Amino acid sequence: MILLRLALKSLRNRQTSTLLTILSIAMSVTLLLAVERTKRAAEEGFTQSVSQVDLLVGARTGPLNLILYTVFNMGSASNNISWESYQEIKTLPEVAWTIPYSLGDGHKGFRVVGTDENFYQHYRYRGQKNIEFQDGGPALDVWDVVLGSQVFDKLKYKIGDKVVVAHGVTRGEGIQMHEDKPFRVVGILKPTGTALDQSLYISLYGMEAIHIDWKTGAAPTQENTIPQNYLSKENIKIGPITSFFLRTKTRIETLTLQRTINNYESEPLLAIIPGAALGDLWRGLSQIDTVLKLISLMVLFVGLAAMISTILAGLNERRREMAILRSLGAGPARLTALLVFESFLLTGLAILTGVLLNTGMFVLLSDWLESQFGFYVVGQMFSPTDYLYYFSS
Amino acid sequence: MIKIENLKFKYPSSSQLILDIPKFQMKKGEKIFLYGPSGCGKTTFLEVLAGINSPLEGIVEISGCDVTKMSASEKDQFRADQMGYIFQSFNLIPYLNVQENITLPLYFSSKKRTRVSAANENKKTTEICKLLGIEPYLTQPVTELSVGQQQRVAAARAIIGQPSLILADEPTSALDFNHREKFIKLLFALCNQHQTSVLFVSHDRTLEKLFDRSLSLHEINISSKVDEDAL
Repeated sequence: MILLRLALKSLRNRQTSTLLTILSIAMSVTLLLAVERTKRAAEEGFTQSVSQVDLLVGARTGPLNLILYTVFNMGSASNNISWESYQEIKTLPEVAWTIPYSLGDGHKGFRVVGTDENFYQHYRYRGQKNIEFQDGGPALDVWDVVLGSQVFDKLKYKIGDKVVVAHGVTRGEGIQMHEDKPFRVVGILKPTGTALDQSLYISLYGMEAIHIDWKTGAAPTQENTIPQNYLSKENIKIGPITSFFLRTKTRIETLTLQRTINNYESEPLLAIIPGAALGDLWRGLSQIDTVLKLISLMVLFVGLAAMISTILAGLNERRREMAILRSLGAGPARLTALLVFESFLLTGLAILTGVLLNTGMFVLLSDWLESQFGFYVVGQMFSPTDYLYYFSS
Repeated sequence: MIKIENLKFKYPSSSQLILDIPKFQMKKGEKIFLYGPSGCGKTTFLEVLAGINSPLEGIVEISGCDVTKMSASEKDQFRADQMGYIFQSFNLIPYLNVQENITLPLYFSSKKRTRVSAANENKKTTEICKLLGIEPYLTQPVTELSVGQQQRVAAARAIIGQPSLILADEPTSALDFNHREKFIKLLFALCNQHQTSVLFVSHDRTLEKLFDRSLSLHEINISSKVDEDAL
């Protein structure tokens, strides 16, 4: 009891140095937690780009290639899936729903994805998160287009603005434009912190409509051009798509279904489990992980060193005080208890401050981090490394 | 009260004996004034009595217990239970108020605590402070008191819990003559309540007439005599 009182009064007496000590330890705790969290956020932002999907199906290629071009707009598709095969797989009894992706066109450096209503309804990222609109609604009609949040931020289109799609280019400036068939902005997505933000979304009908008179693979001549107002959902027959996401009714069937699709006879297809492939890819980039871990460790080391040095410096200051207490009969054990108690109090307060700082910072800045860097504060609040730090303190 | 035989002491770093006291005795309740020039070993002598310094050889018996035979922690406990120490520089804890400073020894000695129970603590402190004239300052920080008042706080801290021996190391050096005399008288008034012995060391002999007995450290310490002869 007396120790508690002495410790508190003594700490209050040395307010400035106490506060500085707490602050310096709190800073290193904050830094460590921030590094840890950034690490987790980077990993989750990457591996959780698409979730609650059991299979990703595309033309036969490498699993990495399939996931790279479908999810991250890197590389390009080697082949398409015929509409008939897609329909056949889609209607298999074990399939709950599918999200088709038709790729290949772009707009001012962003890719254009042709998809259907299932995308807005079923696409999930980072666990449970679904697609939301900051303005407008889904692109279901032939000439509708929805903007990803980064597209909106960069191009500043409003609802109702006209968008012309470039042919065959998913990055950079296009050469051939579908100028005769402009789209109209009907919706803008909320930021997701995934590759979703960097795309424009049209319907499969729209994707088919702009290519309807390109059957030879080149731009139509004047006389072959079919005017935009001639086209409607009824007279467009949707052709091949690039890939699709698939969800089974009971997840147990995933592996059987994967084998079925991989052995599909009418055309060569590849089905992969996206979560596993993304995890593999992240591990492939394991150097990033190692570097972040190394930074974490260094921060931990510096933090501990700072803490020990401030506490030792404090001890030296208090030699006289200790001598007085000793002369009044406080034995070495009680003095040690006093100092240990003080250190615990300091580190306890410091860790608390650090955690609060860290949490407060992320809560306050998360919107800004999201919008500026697509950096999402996600995952559990504390990781084993954090506990290690508390323990060692 | 105190019985010393063949006490020899030197600091580890020096080759010369600082204390060599064949015989010294002090009766219970006696008030002894011990003088000597600065650096002759007065403080060292008090520290040996308090068990802070350990002698090379000899017997240092206080209240019938030989201090030299105790372990370090036993010495700490014995000092806390049996003695009150008044330092030259008072050694008050700056961040505690007057009352907290005075009652501090009660928390480190179970013997002193049984003599002044927690329930009795405030009453006893007020009583001592009334006698010393520092009662109005009980809740003030010690740093706001005058030197004379701080001195009396240090005395109150030494006397609380009825130690059998008070060791005072030039506690009056910061006071003027009138205040010194007044302080000693107050201290004795407190000590007489419970027959507390006082060993008071100083280089200034103006106060010696107030004590039961006055002696020079040279009279009992042979080593300093040798030293003086050499000079």
